[in-house]
Amino acid sequence: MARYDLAVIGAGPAGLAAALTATDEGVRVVLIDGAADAGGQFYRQTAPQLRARRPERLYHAWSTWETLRDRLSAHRESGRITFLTERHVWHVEASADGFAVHALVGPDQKTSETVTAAGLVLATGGYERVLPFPGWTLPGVLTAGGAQAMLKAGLVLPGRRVVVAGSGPLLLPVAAGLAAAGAEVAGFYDSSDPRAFGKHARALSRNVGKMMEGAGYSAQLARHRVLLRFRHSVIAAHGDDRLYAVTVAGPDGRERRIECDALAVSHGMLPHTEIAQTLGARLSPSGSVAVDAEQSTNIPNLWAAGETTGIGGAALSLVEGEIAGRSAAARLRGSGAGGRTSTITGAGSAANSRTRLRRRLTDFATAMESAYSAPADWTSRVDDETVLCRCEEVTAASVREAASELGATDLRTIKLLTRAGMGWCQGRICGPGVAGVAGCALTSAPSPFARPVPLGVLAESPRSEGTVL
Amino acid sequence: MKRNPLTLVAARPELSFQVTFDGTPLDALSGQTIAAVLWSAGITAWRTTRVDARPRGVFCGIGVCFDCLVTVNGVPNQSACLVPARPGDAITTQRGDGHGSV
Repeated sequence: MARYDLAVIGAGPAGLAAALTATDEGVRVVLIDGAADAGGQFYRQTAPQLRARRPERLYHAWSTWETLRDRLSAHRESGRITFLTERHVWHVEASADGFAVHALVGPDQKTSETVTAAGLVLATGGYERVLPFPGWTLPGVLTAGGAQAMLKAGLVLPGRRVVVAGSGPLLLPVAAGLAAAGAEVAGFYDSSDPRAFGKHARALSRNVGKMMEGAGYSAQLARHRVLLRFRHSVIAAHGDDRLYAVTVAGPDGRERRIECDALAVSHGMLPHTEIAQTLGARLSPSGSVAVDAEQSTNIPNLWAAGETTGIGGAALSLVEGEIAGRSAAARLRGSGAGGRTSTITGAGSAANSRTRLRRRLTDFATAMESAYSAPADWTSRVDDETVLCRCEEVTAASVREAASELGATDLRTIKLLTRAGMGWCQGRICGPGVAGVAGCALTSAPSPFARPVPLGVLAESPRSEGTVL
Repeated sequence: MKRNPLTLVAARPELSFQVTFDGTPLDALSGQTIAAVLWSAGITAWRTTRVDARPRGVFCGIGVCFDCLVTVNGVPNQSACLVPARPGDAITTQRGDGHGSV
């Protein structure tokens, strides 16, 4: 069992920044990710065998990625960082001398391996929230981020004529990417009200770079003659064995039908918090992992950075990762992990500027979060036949019955009564929809496993004392 | 020529090969996942659900939702959005849990 000073779970912007910063400061780091390459979702890499000679055309802030990539390969070549790819973490145990990270190996996920470390940074990112509507289980309806991930990784499109809809800052880059790659974007519908952005003029104006990024996507879409429509929502998807149209409702209630063969839909992001919860880390009222100024959680030697601590985008994730990496290095070295002193000159003022940048980007994220809004009446559009839990095929009628007639007031009871949330995805996908339709809070109970695990792996796992598997 | 994702990034794929989907030969590029190969052929569904036998394909695209499960070379429940295609793969529609019990 390999042992390190610091383990970092997630090789997206936050995890990379944390791992690289801690390695720079002389700490022995293992970086663990589920994908074949570093990058996470934001910098998800095209498969190298496809040999993209102009990959930057699919990305924003490509030069930032090049810097991260080059630093990572330099540290790997010198052996200061170990990067384990295609590792799907399913359980983390805390022990007296640190953490044991258990991960399923490779795309087939049939075997498990374990690394241990004195400290742990969780940079597990976020995942998309999709609120259900009639027809959302039809093939051709997929998450906006999923469409983007498939495009970046495999250079494929979900269809020829794509509607992009929902709410949130992700929709613009997704639509722009699809259009650039040759899809006809048949419509762009965000349910948010642009007037809401005016209330946050200060936070927006102090983040010119972020505003320019959005303006850039809008200009790109304008070149492809895609009209951006706000206060519009997709209220139904139509098809038999696959999608062939969607119905869109505008602010005046008027409905129109748009023919399309794909719908890329998303209603914002949610933080991945399973591992943190398993370890007993406190969550903030918004449901993200609670951290202090150093990105430390309430658990000793456990840090968290990036979307898992609150949705804020790649730039914020980078800063948070850097702060977490520096804090981890300082503490772990202090406890006898390395003994090397910082070689960064002016570390104090650099740290201050990082803190100020984090503050500014967090303000921007907060403004975005409150300005973007899902359609207020979405639950009334969900008819009884709509399947809410995609894994267990539980309809809205069952969930409504559990809530109104059987008196269920929380997600756990609804799960026990209806099986909603009991399937493969463990309620990650249906949670927001079920909670909304049932009228209860979206709470996630800590689960011992972060993903489905083959029984053979469990049977072979060495049990640590005091750990309930 | 109309733009597509490969021309956008000036891709020069290392290798192209064939796989089959329910017996029909399909072209695949090395590095693409099973889901990407099926999408390239215009196929968007490759599983039917356990209860209502409804068609499903990619939903989350990143290995979280398990909607895109498929049978590859006789092994069911493979995440099509994660598993890379390999020359000669026999991809088949997964019915129910893929163990022939429905």
